[in-house]
Amino acid sequence: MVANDAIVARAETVRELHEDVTEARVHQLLRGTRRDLPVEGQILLLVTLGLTAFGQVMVFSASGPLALTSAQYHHDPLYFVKHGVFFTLIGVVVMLLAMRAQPRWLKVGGPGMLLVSLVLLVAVLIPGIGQYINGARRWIAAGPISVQPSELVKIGLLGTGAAILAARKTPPSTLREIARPIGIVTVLACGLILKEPDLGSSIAVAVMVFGMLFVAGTPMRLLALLGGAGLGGGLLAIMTTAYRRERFLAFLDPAAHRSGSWQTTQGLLHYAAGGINGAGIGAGTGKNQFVPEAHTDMIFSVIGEELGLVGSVLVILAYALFAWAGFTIAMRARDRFSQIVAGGATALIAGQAAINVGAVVGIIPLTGVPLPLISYGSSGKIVMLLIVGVLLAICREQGLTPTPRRSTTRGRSQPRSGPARFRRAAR
Amino acid sequence: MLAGCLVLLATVIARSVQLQVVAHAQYAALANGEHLETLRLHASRGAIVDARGRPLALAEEATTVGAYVPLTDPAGVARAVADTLSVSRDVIYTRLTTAHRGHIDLVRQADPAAAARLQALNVSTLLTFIPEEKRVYPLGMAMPIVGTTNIDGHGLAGLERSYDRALRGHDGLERFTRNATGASISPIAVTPARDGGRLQLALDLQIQAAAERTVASTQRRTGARSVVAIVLDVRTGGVLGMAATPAPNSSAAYGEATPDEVRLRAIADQYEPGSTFKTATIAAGLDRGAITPGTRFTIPGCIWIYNRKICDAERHGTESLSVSQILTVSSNVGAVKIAYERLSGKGSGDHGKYFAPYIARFGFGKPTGIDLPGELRGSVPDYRTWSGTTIGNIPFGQGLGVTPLQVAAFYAMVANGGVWTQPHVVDRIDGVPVPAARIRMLPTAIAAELNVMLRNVVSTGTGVKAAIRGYGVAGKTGTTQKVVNGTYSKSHYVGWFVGFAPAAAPRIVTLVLVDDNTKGSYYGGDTAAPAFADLTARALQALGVRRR
Repeated sequence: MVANDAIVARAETVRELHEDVTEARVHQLLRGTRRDLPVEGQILLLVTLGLTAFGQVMVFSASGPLALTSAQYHHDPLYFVKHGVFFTLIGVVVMLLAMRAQPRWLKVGGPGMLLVSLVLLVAVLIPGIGQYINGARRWIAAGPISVQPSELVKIGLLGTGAAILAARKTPPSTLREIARPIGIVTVLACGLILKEPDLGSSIAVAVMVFGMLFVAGTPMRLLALLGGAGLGGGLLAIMTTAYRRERFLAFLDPAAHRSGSWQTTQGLLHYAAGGINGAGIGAGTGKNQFVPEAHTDMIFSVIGEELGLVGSVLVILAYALFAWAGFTIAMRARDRFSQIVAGGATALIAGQAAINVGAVVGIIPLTGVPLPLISYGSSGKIVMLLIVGVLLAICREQGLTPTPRRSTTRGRSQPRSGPARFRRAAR
Repeated sequence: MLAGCLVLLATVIARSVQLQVVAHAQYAALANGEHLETLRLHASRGAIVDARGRPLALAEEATTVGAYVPLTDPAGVARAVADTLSVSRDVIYTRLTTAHRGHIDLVRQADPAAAARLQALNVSTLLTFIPEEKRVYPLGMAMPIVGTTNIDGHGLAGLERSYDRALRGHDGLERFTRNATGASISPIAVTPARDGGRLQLALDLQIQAAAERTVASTQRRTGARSVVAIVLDVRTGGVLGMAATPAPNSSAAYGEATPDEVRLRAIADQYEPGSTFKTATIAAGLDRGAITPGTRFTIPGCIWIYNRKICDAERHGTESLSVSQILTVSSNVGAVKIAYERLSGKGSGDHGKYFAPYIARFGFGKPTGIDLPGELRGSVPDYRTWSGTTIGNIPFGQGLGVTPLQVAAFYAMVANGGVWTQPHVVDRIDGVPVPAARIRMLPTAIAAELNVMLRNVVSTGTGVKAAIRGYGVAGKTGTTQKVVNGTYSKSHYVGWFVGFAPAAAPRIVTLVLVDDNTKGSYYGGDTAAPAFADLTARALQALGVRRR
């Protein structure tokens, strides 16, 4: 009896000790995060990690049948999962490093990166350097890994554009001011990406720059004009290329343009086939080579089919939450440069998500962009996580600032010169 | 800007609700239509084998080569297909350039090895290769009996037609989820195909070969228009062999034969039975108790029945013959006297009153019911319409039409102790015996009396050339004038011999019919009897019946 009691007592002690240790560590971690990151940053981090992890599951589900039946992927159903997890882990490490770094590195490194990426964008068009995959030259092979110059452009342009806009005393108020130099650089980059051809990425870059201009306080009428010009340019790009025109006409009238609408209709069909609750993860059928690009551009169709309305709306809301957190970080950023970077970064990720989801559900034409954080990707995935890392760094920088938060609330004096739009909005 | 974002969000969610809730059923049906595939699982057509399992008809693997037209380079594809499968390039080219759009067959049921060679070529991406079953007849024997199918495997003639349902089996169905390339991902439900039944025939290829050789050699020897031979198993009614000339070329396809060559003359042609029918007349008389084998009749050389003069084949003076002797010498006058004097009714129109029912009972005037298509019933005049002339010729086999098989089946009944057994070709389907009807037509004692009388025909009568060394043979000759331009011809004859052996314990009935010989004597005892002896001896040896 005595021995037994002793054993029970001992076991309890061990358990308590264990609990103490675990609790202490978790608290420490939480305390650390709380201390470093304001709540919007914590939300952004959670949403990002959540979408990324969820993305791995969906990539497995969406790519399994393709990889299994294709010799190109060694008939290994886990092919895309293995590669995806590898790049995602690199991306998460990059994100955490970027979070710890001063966002200023973008200001310093941005122009250099932009220059390099523009050179690479030209290089990728040259046969022999650019890899020809699925009818486009978007990749440059560098040893075992492939790089998409269009991904580098995003970071380069993000840093450079923000630096230029932040250096100005006032927001650009005329087209000429916008055009020189940021507009010209954007049009040049977008034009080169379009040449690959990769309409989706050039639209994503344009949306990012649009977001930066918006946060920089560019007048609304000018933004409207730019938006109109962007739409016009996009339409021009569509109507001058046969397959894009066919896709666009298919979007307008799917029945009459079957060849152009295969991807769209298949994506839509299987998205709708999911119903309210979906077929269940793994039980979808569209990924069986009916929906092309099921694990990349059309992964949202697989999500819709396997998780139904419930799952797809939750994903949409997750991106909305991401956008809210991102713009909140932009609003509360410490300086103008960080503000514009945060605005552009959020616009890029949320905008790309909107373009992707909109195309899958058939409310905008298909342009071919991956669903950020979820779709399978290599350099694209790393760049996306890097950009989230920059957003977190800006947020963290602000959390570390000794000045009281909520400084933009009504009646308070403005210690730093935030953009007029945010001041107005906060009033 | 915030408002814009919210509008976008609301739009996307609203659209999701519209797609996944409101229009869900419609889209789900469309999606299912793409994924769910129902495939016919082809049932293999059953084989046809002889009594000892040797194959007569088999199903073989083949490959049907097709294409989706129009093609950009029909000439190149036509060249590759034509060269590999050794078919006409022009035919393939014409098919490839048809106005039809979609899938077409280029070569049905090609040799799978050649198709595999074609599949290894670059053009194969433009072609389809669909496995299909091909019907083959490895030996080319018994062609009119086995028959043929069309290219889709539906029986057109012979056993292929009469047993089409049993041979065909039941196709199965497989429902499965497919991917976009059409490959099955997961089966949903499978109804397996039930292959067609295997027909095992009573036919013995060794006897069939002997029959085919016999008709061919007899045709050469006699210069006949056609020769028919039947070998029946006395006990079972099974057809052991059945052949006729003109015969189809055994190395060519059924479709290349003329209708004349593949007609089953044993069941689809009718002849006057002639003297072979006298056995039926005497059997009727014996069964009715009107005569015994020893009953004596006064037989003049010719008699008048009403307005018709009936004479025996050989002129002779008036003599006294027993019933047995009447059969032995094949006396027409004797047969008529038996029927007219002992089997007629009293009234003037009642000549066939007692005889006609026996003719029907013995199976004349109705099909035997053999399991082959196209059997004739024969033509036996209704006895109420019999005139005086009718009773003057039917007793010796004139004025009625019978098929050779009806005659063979009647003699098989006599040989089998009076029990008629349904003639049939198929013995078993998938090992299960096909029942054959058995009918007692005569008492055993009367059958035995007939047996003895028929032995005399061979030992001392018209059928001496049918005798076989080592086997007792019983049988009957027959010689009939052919009807040419409405009257009996003096130059065109049909010679018969039908009999059974070994006479003491009969195993087989053999019938040989020589139609319109051009060389030598026209008597059945001279044209058909030697062929009978030859064929019967071979058949008995094939069955392992020992010589005495």
